[in-house]
Amino acid sequence: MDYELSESQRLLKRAAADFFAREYPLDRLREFRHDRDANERALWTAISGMGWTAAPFSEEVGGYPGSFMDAAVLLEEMGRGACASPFVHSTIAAGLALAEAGHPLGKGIAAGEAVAVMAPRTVRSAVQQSADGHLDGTCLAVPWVNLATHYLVPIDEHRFALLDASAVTATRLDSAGSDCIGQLQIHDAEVAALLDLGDTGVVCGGAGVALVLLGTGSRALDLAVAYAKERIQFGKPIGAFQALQHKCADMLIALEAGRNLAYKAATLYGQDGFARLARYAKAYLGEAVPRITRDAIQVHGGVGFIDDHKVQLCYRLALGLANSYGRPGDLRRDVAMAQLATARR
Amino acid sequence: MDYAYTDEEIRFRDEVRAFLAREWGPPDPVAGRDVHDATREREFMAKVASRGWLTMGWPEEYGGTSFSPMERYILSQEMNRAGAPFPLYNVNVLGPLLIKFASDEAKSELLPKMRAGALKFVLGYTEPETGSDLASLRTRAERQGDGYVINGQKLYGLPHPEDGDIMFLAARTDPDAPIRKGISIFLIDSTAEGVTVTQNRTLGGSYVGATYYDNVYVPASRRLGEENEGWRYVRECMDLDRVSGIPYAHFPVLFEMLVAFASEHERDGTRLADEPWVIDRIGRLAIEVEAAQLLQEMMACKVYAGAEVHAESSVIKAYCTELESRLAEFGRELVGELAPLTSDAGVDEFIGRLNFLSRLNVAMTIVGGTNEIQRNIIALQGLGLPRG
Repeated sequence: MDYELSESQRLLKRAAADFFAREYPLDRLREFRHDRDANERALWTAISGMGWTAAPFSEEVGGYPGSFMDAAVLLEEMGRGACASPFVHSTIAAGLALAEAGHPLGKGIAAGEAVAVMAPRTVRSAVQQSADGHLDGTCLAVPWVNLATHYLVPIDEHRFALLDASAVTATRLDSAGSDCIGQLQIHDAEVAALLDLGDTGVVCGGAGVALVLLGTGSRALDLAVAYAKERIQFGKPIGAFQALQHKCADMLIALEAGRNLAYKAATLYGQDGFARLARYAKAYLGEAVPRITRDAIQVHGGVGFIDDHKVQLCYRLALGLANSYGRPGDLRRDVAMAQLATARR
Repeated sequence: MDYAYTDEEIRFRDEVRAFLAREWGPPDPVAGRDVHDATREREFMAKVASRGWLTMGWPEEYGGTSFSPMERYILSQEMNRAGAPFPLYNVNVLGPLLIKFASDEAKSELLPKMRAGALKFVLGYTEPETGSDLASLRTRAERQGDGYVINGQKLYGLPHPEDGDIMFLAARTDPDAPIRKGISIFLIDSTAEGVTVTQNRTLGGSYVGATYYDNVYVPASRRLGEENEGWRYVRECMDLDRVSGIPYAHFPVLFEMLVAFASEHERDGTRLADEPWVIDRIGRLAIEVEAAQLLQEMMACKVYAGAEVHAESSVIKAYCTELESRLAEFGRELVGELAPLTSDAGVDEFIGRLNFLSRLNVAMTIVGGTNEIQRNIIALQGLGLPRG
């Protein structure tokens, strides 16, 4: 057992923390709302320019060589920075799924040239493949339609249609979450490839989202604690009141429980137990972090809900991601089914 | 970062498991805490002692055996998982503390018994007016000749003091000093003249003791370390106890029992495990049981690697005792109206144990520092919030 990051992971963590603190402090992120597309594009250009998109990949795909744990360090820091980008969707979920399937687009993603995103199967999505193989339908809540170069549209449990962005009409939708999401209208679209990706994308995306949530939850707690130390009421800092102390303690307890699940998942990529731990981490943090970031707003009192107080950036990031790559309830059901299958044996 | 045990650690864990299967029986974490069979426990302890497991980490000249810190952690977890008795606090805390600070007379008298697993200590901190605010204790120890005379009262010796036990007693030796500066620690025979022991039955069915000290004479050789430095030793105990505390390694076994019960029983023609609410709870608890394991393992790993820890043990105490309560609650909902039945009702062994757990767990969020105190520690030491 080893609780420490490797030397290179520590450096990566420091670099990422410095980058977000210097280039994208929370006050600047708040300004994104005035010109979202341009700001998000600039941020993504900076992220891929630093070579971070290669972080999770092996050497043959274009990694340096990286590992899921290297990417985990970045994911957590992105969460801490409350910074939304296509990283978890394209680099982690779609990128690792394509790389594992040996598809050449994996290299483009690792190089930061391509942005591929998976369309989720939502309650309002419907896609049909016609006899000639072309695709028709609508996909909703598709991440990063403003930056995507490719889409992976699910046909059934394991197969995805790879579409070029030019083959569909993508529209950004107004969202309270930090990640850009939109709608795909697909009319007689040519399918570039039909790929069996299994559940790799969802599992990797789940593990990745868990780490982003971990980061943003701990940032929200930091903001709440800092505010509780400086805000004076009844002649003392509000953080001296046990009602708030215990609320903050509960936030930390939940984060520490989730932290180990998310880290362990990251260390197990490519080994037995990765999918199981990824599910545990996503189910736990997907439920806990919206609550934690909400509680952080509660600690701020009245200023917390004034649009867009910086503490809301954490809540908005969590809102957008908590149900991506496995709703917590679905994941708990899957976990239970696996437990019951073992019990029956 | 790595969450895996080394091959040697896995080998050691398997060795301990095989020993326990042979000498104690199948893992049964709840029963192990419910039924005390003194003869069986004594025989088992002798076998544990012969393996050198009761002096792990002690200096060699005191019979210490060389096991890695992680092996010590694994041993205590396995004992807990099996529901086997193991004097973890003696091994990890009181042994090293006595070796460091006790007089030569006390060491030569007490350490051999500890090595053999034949000595029980009862912590004498709590008093009627002194609970979480430990430094406010009132029991007095006054110098008299070569020793001290003790007067006062202690509550909640856990487990209750029996003949031959030693009270690890905190008493005030300087009433004029600031409250943390005037405390000393004494090692007092429970059979010493002037000691009276009464017993209180607990919700969990076991007994805790109250001890009364009426002019009890204790020789200076039974004072631990320096006079008026008791607070330091209490703190040292807490430091040594960061990992051992109360191990919570029994959750996976307990959880498996709950899942098996849900799989094997039906009600109104529906298997419990097919009920949507049961499925959701199983999923939720499986995740939490894993989280509890990892919290403990990572903390042990950090402490043994010499890393700084702040409020981790408080996080673990609060999380794990409350998770145990959630596990018991789920169990009660599974068995439904049968939940109040005790083992003595003779209806179902598992239901009886679950009932015992539901009573025992109530104490677990209180003893060892209430979970509210743990949250204060997390807020102050872990998060740096200001004192109220």
